[in-house]
Amino acid sequence: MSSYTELSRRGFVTASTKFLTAGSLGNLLFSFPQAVASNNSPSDYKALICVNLLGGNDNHNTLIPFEGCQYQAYRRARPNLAIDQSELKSTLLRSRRSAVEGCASVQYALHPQLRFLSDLYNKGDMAILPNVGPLRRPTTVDDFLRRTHIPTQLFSHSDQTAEWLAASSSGIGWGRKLSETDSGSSAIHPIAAINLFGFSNWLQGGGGVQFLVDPRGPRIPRAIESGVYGSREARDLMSEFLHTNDGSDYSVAYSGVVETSLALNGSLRQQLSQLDPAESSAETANRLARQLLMAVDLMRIGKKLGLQRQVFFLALPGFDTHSNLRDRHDRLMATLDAAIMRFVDAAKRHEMEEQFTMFTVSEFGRAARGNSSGSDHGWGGCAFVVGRAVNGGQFYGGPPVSSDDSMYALDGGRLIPTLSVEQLIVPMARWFGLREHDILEIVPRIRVFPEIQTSLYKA
Amino acid sequence: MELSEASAFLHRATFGPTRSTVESLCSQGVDSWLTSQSRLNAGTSHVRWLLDNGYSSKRYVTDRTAYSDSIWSKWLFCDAQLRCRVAYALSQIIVVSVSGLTSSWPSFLIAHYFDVLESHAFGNYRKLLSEVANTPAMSIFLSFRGSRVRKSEADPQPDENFSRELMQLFTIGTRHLGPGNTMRGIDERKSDTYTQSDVKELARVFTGWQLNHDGTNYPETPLATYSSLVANEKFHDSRRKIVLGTEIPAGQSAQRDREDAMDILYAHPNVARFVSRRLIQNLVSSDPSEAYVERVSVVFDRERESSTQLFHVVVAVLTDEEVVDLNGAARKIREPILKFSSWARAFCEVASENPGIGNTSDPAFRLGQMPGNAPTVFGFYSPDNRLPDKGKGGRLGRFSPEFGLVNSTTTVGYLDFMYRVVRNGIGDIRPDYALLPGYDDKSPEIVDYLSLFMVAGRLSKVRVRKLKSLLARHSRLGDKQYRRGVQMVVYLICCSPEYQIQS
Repeated sequence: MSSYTELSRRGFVTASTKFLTAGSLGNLLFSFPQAVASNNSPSDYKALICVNLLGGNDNHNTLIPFEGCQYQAYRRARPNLAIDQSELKSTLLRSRRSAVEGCASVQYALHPQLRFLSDLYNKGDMAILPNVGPLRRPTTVDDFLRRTHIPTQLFSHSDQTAEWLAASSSGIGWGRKLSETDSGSSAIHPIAAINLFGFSNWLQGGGGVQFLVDPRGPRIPRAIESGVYGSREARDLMSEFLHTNDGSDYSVAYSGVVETSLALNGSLRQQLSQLDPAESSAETANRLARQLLMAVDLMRIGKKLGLQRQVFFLALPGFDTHSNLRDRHDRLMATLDAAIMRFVDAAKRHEMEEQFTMFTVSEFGRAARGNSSGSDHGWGGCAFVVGRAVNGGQFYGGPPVSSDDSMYALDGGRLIPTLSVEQLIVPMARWFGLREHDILEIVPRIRVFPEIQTSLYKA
Repeated sequence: MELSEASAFLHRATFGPTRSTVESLCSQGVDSWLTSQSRLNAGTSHVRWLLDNGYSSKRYVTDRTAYSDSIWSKWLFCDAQLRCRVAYALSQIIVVSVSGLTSSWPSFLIAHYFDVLESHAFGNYRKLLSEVANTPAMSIFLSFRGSRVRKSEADPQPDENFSRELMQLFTIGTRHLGPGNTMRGIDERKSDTYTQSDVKELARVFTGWQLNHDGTNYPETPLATYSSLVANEKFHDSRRKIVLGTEIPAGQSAQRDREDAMDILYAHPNVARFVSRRLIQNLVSSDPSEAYVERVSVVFDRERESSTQLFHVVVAVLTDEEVVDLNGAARKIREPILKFSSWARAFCEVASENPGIGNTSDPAFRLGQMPGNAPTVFGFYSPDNRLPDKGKGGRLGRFSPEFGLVNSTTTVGYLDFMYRVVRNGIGDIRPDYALLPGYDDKSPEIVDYLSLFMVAGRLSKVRVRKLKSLLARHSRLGDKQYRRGVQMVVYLICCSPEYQIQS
């Protein structure tokens, strides 16, 4: 089966060489050749939403021990960064107490700005992964000191981002792999995998190019719509120029993106204009909410087109808090919480609450011990998995690890993950409908990790 | 030298060819042109521009756009094109972004940083590293400002941000680079060029640095943002350190420690190839052969103590046999800033002190790129980006860093931005197409001229013919229509496949 870009170019260009106006593209998304029959049962729509917190989210100020010697250890590690106990009361996580070595078991809380998320957790619609990250196999401090079987370039943004989002699939993002496996080939429907932020390893791979949708709405060039300085003849020439290349690899790649973009943007714009109302037309200064609301609309369109599976990549930058942590991180937490609240609310209104899993990813956590006003790169961090189908209200994959733990805490209170990225991918892939055989191909390394006793999803 | 060769050369070595630069290059030849460029200094500093234009008024304490007026004003119109072009290239290796300057007077901070890059664009890379480490901009962007020695368990640890990125992004990189082999494949365990321990030790080196308020009350005035940093030895960790296996002895000042640390990094065998490859990618070719990188690295290393090192390196980059051999072949995707600057320099002859272009970062409505405003310390794109793979299971696509900026938002945004700009200009940057040769006669040869300037003569015969026909039809309809016809042709070339590529 030819790659996505070839298929799209052939399909679009031959089908509509004069596709200049949005109107004529109205049916394009419907007419795109569907890939071979999906593995999944019909009318079983599911969406997977990846929210990348860019920069390395400070886990120690995100999931916080509320009391006891754990809280004291937290305070001791970062006296100038620690959040006061009094501020944690409204984000207490109910009914989970975790025993940690040498300490009575304690309750945990989320960052004070994560009110909605802590409510979700308490309602059972969100699971927390307290200490997850890239691993080659279960690893302890001793393993680290001997430098055996640990990922290379720990603490490097770009490398750890690739570790998280390409996992063990040789440079191909597992978001892309999940889409391809569902469609049965490397050709996927144009809006089966959408990037709402900007280039990401998660959707990278094969011969395809990631399809980016601007959360403010896809556009087609003004000159294509209304002529070049009043001339339709020049406009026709423009269209011709945009659909050719000069034969070089660079030009072929560039014009490939242009052609695909013009076709898809036009179709999508028309589809969005038919939504009543379009969630994405809401005004918001929250950059994550804007992406999430567009995701809701794209999910609605996807369902309308008969798609059964979609994956979305979104991101919120700013988490590399080496300095001014309290100020910056607090604001980011508020942004995250507000955005997810809007998304869940919109999903509910469109009866898609049961049909999505949203998970957060960050390239690493941070060191518990701070520098003068912030914290430096760590390794294990916390993640959230949100959705009605999720078996929420639990710490998935084990209890939180203290920053002075003898087995898993490195110098400065950097945590070695006690759950691997693969152990998160597998249950989500199963929920997404992939067969075990296909899952093992995408994440072969799962074999070296133990099965988690509790399920990430409700029965 | 052919006019088209000259034009192509100027697309690599400047912000775009102009009539006078094409003429002078053709008459002098490359070597002489390069030598005369080497004699041109950086001119008025960007900090001075801000001061002269009233930006030290308290009203502008949070302004983060004004500096770009100074940048555009100089880079679009000055004679020292090569120096500025190299400074721009360096700014994409040793990155500071105004978006990460959260303190007062961000425009001054980054203006000063660009002044340093421009001053040292033809100088010595080792010296440049020290100078950059001395800028308030870098100390804030990579947060080592105020980082202090850790004396007890209760103290916070030194900030590791700068020390890590200094090694990962500015000097050594994360992979061993071997001779005749730009990326070495090495057993995972041995592949670390530096370790977390090195990052920590280096973080201790960069302790004690502060902004030099020099009696002024920062942030009341911006003076501290463009003065060299000062070291408060009380906060400097002067204990013994080991970086990359080399000892930095105890008892030294912050400055001495910094110089020793930079010497250690600079001595790493990776540096020449690391920097050379980036410069080649930025100026000439996204996917250079290993031999090309090697030839340039040899020059880098040969000149490593020289105060004109980078000039020699840049000459090697621009005049390498690989450049000459493949003249006319596509070598990289043009970045948006250069697509805009090429247009501006070709058609806007009147220099502007105050371009008023504004923030061009928006990908849907502007260029998706703005000098000094990359999204992160990794710059606008990764040097490791590739074009899509060839077919299913086929070979990897060629390296193409700029391809990271090519998507369904930016490709449309660029077309819309240039649509407005080609007709109306932007800010104070106004085109005057009437100055083009052949305009007065309404000669169709104007299309050849446009092809020469905009794409070094590479516009395909078919496209040239169609544009000439289009223009001819408009010529017959009178002056006003002809003028519009010329604008159409210019815009259509901006849409052409050739314009998206640099040869």
